[in-house]
Amino acid sequence: MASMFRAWVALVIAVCLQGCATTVLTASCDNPKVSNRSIPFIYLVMLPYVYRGDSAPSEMHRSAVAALNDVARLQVVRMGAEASDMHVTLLQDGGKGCEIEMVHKAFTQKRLLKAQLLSTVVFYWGEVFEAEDRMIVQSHVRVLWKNPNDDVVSFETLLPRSDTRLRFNGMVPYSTVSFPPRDLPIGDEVGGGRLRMLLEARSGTMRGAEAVPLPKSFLINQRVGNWVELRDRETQTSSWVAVTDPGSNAKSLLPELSFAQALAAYASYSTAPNDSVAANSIRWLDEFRAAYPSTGGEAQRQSMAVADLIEAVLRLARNAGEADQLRAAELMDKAVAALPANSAALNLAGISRIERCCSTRQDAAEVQRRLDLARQLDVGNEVIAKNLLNWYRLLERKDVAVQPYDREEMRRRAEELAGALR
Amino acid sequence: MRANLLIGVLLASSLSANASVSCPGIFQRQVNEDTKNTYYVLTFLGDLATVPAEAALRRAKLGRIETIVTPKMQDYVNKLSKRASASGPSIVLITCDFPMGAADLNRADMDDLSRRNVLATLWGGNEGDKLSVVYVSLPLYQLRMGNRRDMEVAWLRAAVTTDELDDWMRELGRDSIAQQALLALGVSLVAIKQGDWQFAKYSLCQVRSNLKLMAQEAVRPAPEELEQEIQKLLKQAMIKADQGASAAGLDLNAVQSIKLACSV
Repeated sequence: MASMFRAWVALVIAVCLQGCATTVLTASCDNPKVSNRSIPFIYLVMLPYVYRGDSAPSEMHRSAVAALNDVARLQVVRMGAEASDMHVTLLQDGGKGCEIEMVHKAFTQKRLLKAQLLSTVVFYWGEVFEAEDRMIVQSHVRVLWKNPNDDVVSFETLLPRSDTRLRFNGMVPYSTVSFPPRDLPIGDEVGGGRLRMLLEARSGTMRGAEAVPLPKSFLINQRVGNWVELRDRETQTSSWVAVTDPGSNAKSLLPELSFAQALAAYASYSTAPNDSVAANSIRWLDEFRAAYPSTGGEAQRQSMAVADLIEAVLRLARNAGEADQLRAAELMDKAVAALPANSAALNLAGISRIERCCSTRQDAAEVQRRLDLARQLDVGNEVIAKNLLNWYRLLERKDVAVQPYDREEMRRRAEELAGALR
Repeated sequence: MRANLLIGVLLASSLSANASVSCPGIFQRQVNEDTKNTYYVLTFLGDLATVPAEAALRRAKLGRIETIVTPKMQDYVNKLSKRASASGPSIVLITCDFPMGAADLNRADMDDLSRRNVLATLWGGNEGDKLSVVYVSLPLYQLRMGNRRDMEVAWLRAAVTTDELDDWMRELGRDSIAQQALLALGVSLVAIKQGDWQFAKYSLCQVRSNLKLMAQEAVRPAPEELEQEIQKLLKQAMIKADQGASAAGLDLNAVQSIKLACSV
């Protein structure tokens, strides 16, 4: 195990949940850590929401941000309980601020010292600010893949009249996704009290137990059955939260967390494919989408397109039948329409159509268009160039009626590309 | 004219109160960080009506664009440098709180900004009845004769909503081919200056590949004119990069990604 993750000792608490499948700890932003007690498929590192308003935060602002962080952290605890083999780090401001770039640097810089990152990391963070008389929250997510090729998605197809299988590679675009700003429903209530009321913390491990306010600052102490014990850091009193509760209020407040959860599951799936992980990821993406209007326009374009691509890849990967195939194709088309000049999206959407291609010349022309444009936009990308070359090899064996170019032109293109790849 | 005066003050005294209020990021960073390989894209947003009048409030609102758009621009430049197996520059978007007038940012101003590692300036404009982004690449400006207007490349904004500030954020955050190509052009010209031949050659080939698509997006100058002009410049820059590499004993054609990129 790499020394960077072995050496740290400053964790506040590390607790095994669900038979050590998921661990949760809190740590300071000054010294961001992940657990070294196991090597999970995924690390989820959550930074606290910070106030970036126009002026110094009032007591109401401070309190609202603290409450939002409580909601988010609790939701992450719930997410951890639903996921398998994930490690969650909840970061806290140690007094010097909590900036994603600093935290991200802490993870990547150490890699330069040859220490290996043990698993892929999903970072989640956000800001609260004001717009006229409203409070707005904006969240972001970023993936740091353990190995440079861990994010590669592959599709294979048989070269007609041969035993050769052609492989096409791609990846979901963007390492960072920023979600649209959304209203924070605190109204005029001082201290964001209404936010906390969205949570159903209880004095004991029963539905009928007395409802108690969520502590302002807490440690996740233990799990008993379907309940997680939160310990107030000041008073040391306990409150309990049901992890099986879908937390619909919290989820509607921060649907971006469902996206982060889906993304973590997607990254986990790339390490260890598992149908239930794929199904959960798709379910969480649905939750994310459900929180936005279907005609949300430009603000949602990027995050929705990434959600669509992730779901499409999972559906194609699990290959559960015709319905999955059709839905995946529909989602890929939507994503390309939303990101028409993104080389990674074009490439992925192009190669995903190849296996079922092509009943018409129009089908083949669309694959060609996507791959050509992807290559133009990312001109030195060897993966895209190889996909295009394989595509020409495949086209050569297809019926002339569906070929977008005549044989001569296709051969010329293929030879040129092969020459550049040699 | 106001912008001209402000820039004059701003350039004459980099830490003056006026300057730090108008365009503060560049000055803070130049004081606090090693900026040798950090380049700035200045975005002039002083004409937005929907941001508050009070200076500190405006600053906070405009600054949000910096935190959202900077990583997107950096991602693109990182991709170029990764492909070229080179260490590319850091890119920082800085918002400047005054409107751009026709007489502002003359050649002397642009020269001064270039010395401060400013890679590009951009602001909002109108082409007929449509909103546009007006972009000036400073390394390109340095290489050509003519006034500022001649150096501008304008393309139409895709997103138009009621909130101008968010609208800007979305426009600069989308993958407009013009923005991608102009950014690649800027960093390639800077790389030539710095003698980073590998990164320069790769980025120039990327620009060449995007040229037609970029020209199609642009509304000013006319697509053919823009394409010809940049094609001419690319040829000269490629020769410089090849000569520089050759003098340094580098065989750029032996680099697979460059060979691939330049074959388009």
